[in-house]
Order: sequence, then structure tokens, then C-alpha cells
Amino acid sequence: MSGISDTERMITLKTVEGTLFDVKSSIAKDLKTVQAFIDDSDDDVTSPIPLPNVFTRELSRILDYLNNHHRFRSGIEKADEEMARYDAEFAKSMSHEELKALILAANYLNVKDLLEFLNQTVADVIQNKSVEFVRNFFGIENDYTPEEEEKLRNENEWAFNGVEQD
Amino acid sequence: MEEKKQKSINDILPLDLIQRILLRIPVKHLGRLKCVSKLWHSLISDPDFAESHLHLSLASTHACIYKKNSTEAYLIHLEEAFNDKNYKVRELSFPFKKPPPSEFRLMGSCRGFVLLHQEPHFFVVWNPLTGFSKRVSYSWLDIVHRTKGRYFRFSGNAMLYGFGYDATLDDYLLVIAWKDSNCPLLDCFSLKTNSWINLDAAVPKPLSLMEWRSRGLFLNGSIHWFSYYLEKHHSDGLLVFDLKERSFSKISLPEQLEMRDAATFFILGGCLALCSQDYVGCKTHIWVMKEYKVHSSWTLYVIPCLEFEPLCLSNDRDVVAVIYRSLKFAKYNLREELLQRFRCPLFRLQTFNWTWCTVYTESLLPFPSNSKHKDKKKKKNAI
Repeated sequence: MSGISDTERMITLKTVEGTLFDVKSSIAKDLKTVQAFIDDSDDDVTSPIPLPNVFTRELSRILDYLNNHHRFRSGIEKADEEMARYDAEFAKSMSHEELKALILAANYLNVKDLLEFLNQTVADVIQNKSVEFVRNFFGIENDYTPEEEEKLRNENEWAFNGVEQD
Repeated sequence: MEEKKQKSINDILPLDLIQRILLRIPVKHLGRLKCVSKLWHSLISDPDFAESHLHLSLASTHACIYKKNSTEAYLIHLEEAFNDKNYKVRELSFPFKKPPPSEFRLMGSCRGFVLLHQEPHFFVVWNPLTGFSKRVSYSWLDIVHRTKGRYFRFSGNAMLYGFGYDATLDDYLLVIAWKDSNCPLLDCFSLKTNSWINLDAAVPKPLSLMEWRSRGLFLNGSIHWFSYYLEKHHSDGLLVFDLKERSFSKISLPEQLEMRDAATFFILGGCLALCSQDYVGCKTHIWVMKEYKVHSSWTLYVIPCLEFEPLCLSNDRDVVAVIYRSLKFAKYNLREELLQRFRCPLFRLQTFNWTWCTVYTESLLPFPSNSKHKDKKKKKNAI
């Protein structure tokens, strides 16, 4: 196709389920893992790039986030407020399971800004919660015996004031 | 397929991701999170993690300890106090086994530790968050004996004092200049080895004659003091003591700074700052040295009210402060130039005095211990 500049070149990504996504190369740059793959290839990448660890739901969300953020950044001044509102909605729209899955995907694809945002979101969710809640959230097994845990809680008694109820 | 998907989602997040999340959680919650699992415990207890948490400041919390009486203090979390309507000021006990015999002062803070000093009896290093404390007693005789041969009349007045950290030795140091009729005695106490180090060689001649007890502020490996001649309404600038090099230097003030009255000196958002009062325009002028030791980086902010004493910078844009005359708390947003006043519940200030109060950043850093057990007993007797 004539007349298409370098920034509008399309990259195709394939998720675990086999779904294909066409992504502008300017967006693909934010997926550092993908960009590294492209940079490492000797020829132009024409066939779909397989992403063995990424599911359709996650890739769709990530691309949605990146597309919106690119739009905000290239737009007019007022974008800061709009971006904050979008981010808040984005975080709220996910269940904890979805949030975790998205972090894993963003980490694998190395999407720096989104990952920082998701890490902050999780930090905000868990900071005031009980130990049991945090274990459930991350799917972590408690490897302390009841006695060990009792001792720990006493040692760190100062940290147990003012905790939100689950 | 669904089963398989669930399994991968419940995969434990890799360690470095967990760590990056934990770096964004305020330190006071991390004590609790140590109980999640043994892995989390070792992650959070790692001194390198505590250092990263302090330096990255992704979730730093500023707290203010204000002395209520000789045994108790108020603890105010400055970020929460102004953002949470239900915030309650806490009361804490000072870490004394029995009430001290006379007035003691809050001498400053460094990396989450607050220093209490009662002349001439003791120092206490205290982490109000975790309750850790270490007490060091000393007497005038200790000081006088070390000046042997030199005529020194000990009048018991510290001229300058400061509390800082030497990263190369992993040691917390107290620097004190004692006033003498002849010349000052510059002393340094190592809190790790519990011993005094004489630094007279480092004293700049002449040492600025501060008219009142001047507290030092620790930043970037050095202790800083503001030098001010009350009678001359003049300042020589900031006196800087590098804890690693053990040498003095000076930082000059912005030329436009008018010194009709004493300016106050503090650290704001990791930068040196000064504030002076404009009684004519009813404003407070705050000068911030945005780049350390770069004279041209002194930047002026004008606050539309008098006697606005900054305590800390919150969220990179709000200056949290106390207003002297009305004894209220206030917050000034630098970007929007908006000033808001607050009353802090359960905590009515009678007066505001910097020797009764200190602001610090909460931390979980461990206090260095002296590995030289052999000499420990010897030194303990000397103290």
C-alpha cells in the first residue's frame, strides 16, 4: 500500500486462544517484549507474532489502555483530568482476579507505564487489609504455624492498629 | 480450558513484582504484611528493601512527633491528617523507663529515627513506628576529660547540634558544638560504637555565632545549619558538615532573601528550604533550593498568609504546614496556588516550638549494631 508512513505500519499479534490483533507499530513500541522481537528479526515481521502467555481478554485490555493513553497524550491540555478519570474507571472495572491476570500479562509484555499503574492499584487495594485478605488475593499459602504467627503478630503489634475489616 | 486458565491466574506473582508492589505500600502497613508468609517476611525484613523504600519514596509517609509532656507525645501522620476526615491523632509514650529529670528536646530526625536529647544526661534514638529505642547516657565529665590539657570551661550549652547518617560506615552520628568562652569544642558521637570522636580539626574559623541553639538538618549525607546573627540581621548562609569527609563548607543564600527577622530553615520534598516573613504584604516567602548546592536553583514561592511554617511536602505538590499565630494546620497546593486551613482534632496546640516537635519520614530501617563485642563492655564503662 503506497503512502503509508513508518508509524502506521501494522503488527499482528496472536494470543493463546489464537485470536489475532492488528496493532499500530507506534502502539507496539510500548509492548517492549514485542518490540524487542521485532528489533531482533532480520526481516520485516509479516506473520503474526505469537504471545504464548497472553490471553485475549488481557491483550484486549492492554491495547485499550495504550490506545487511550496515546490519544490523551497527543491531544489538548485538558487531557490530564480525562486520563485520571479513565484510569480510575479502568481500575474499577476489573475484579481482583482480572487485575492479577492483567499484571502478569503487562509484566510479560513489559508495558512499563501500565505495570506501574497496576502495581499502584494493587498496593492501594491491599494496604489497609488484613493478612488473610492479602493471602487470598495473591493465592498464597500460609506457611507459619499458629504459634509462629502469634509471635509475629505480637512483635509487630504496632502495625495491627486501624486495619479495615474484610 | 477454564480450569487451566484459573490455574495460571493463581500462579503466584513473581518475586520482583511483589516487591515492586510492596515498595508502593506505606511502611506502617508493611509490619502487618510480614505475617502473610515466610517469603514476604524475608522480603520486607531485608535492609536493602527498607533502603529502597526510603529512597524511592513511592509511598513515603511523613509523621510529626509533638511533645505533649515529659512522658507522652502526639503522633500526627501529615498526609492522612488532611485527606481523611476521620483521622485521629495518636498519643504515644516516649521510650523512657521513668520520666526524665528535666526538660528534654527533640533534636531532629534521620531515616525514620527521632533523636531525643536531655543535656547533659542522655540521648535516645527512637523509631516511633516500630517502638525501637536505644539510650546512651553520658555526663559532663566525659566531655571535659577529653579536652585534657586544653582550658575549657564547660557551660553546658550546645551551640549547634545535628543528627545524621554516614552511609560509608553505616553509622548514625550526633554532631554537637559546645560553646566555650575561648573557642568551640566540636564533638561527634557515634551511635553504633557508643563513642565520642573529637573533630576540632574540622572547625572552620571562626565558627558562626548562632544566637540560639541551632538544630541541624540531615540531607544527602551532610548536616546543615542555618547561620544567623540576630543583632546584625544578617546570615552567612548555610553551614554544611559532610559526615563522610568530616569537613565543613557553606551554601550561600539567594540574594533577594530579605532578612528582617529570623528565617526558618527546613527540608521540603528532599530539598533545602528557607522561609521568611513579609509583614508588609502579609505573606510568607519560601525559598527552595531545587538542585542541591546549585545556587541558581533557589526558587521562590509566595504563600498568601503569614507565619506559615512548612512541615513537609505531600504528593509532590501540597505543602503541609502549621500557622504560628492561629496555631492551625494548613495545606498549600503549589500548582493551583490554593491555601486551605484545618484544625487538627484532639490536638490543640498551645504554642509551637521546634524543640518540642520533629517531622520525620517513617521507615523500617534496622539500627546498626556494633559488631565489636570485645570493646563494647570497655566503652560502656567509659560512658
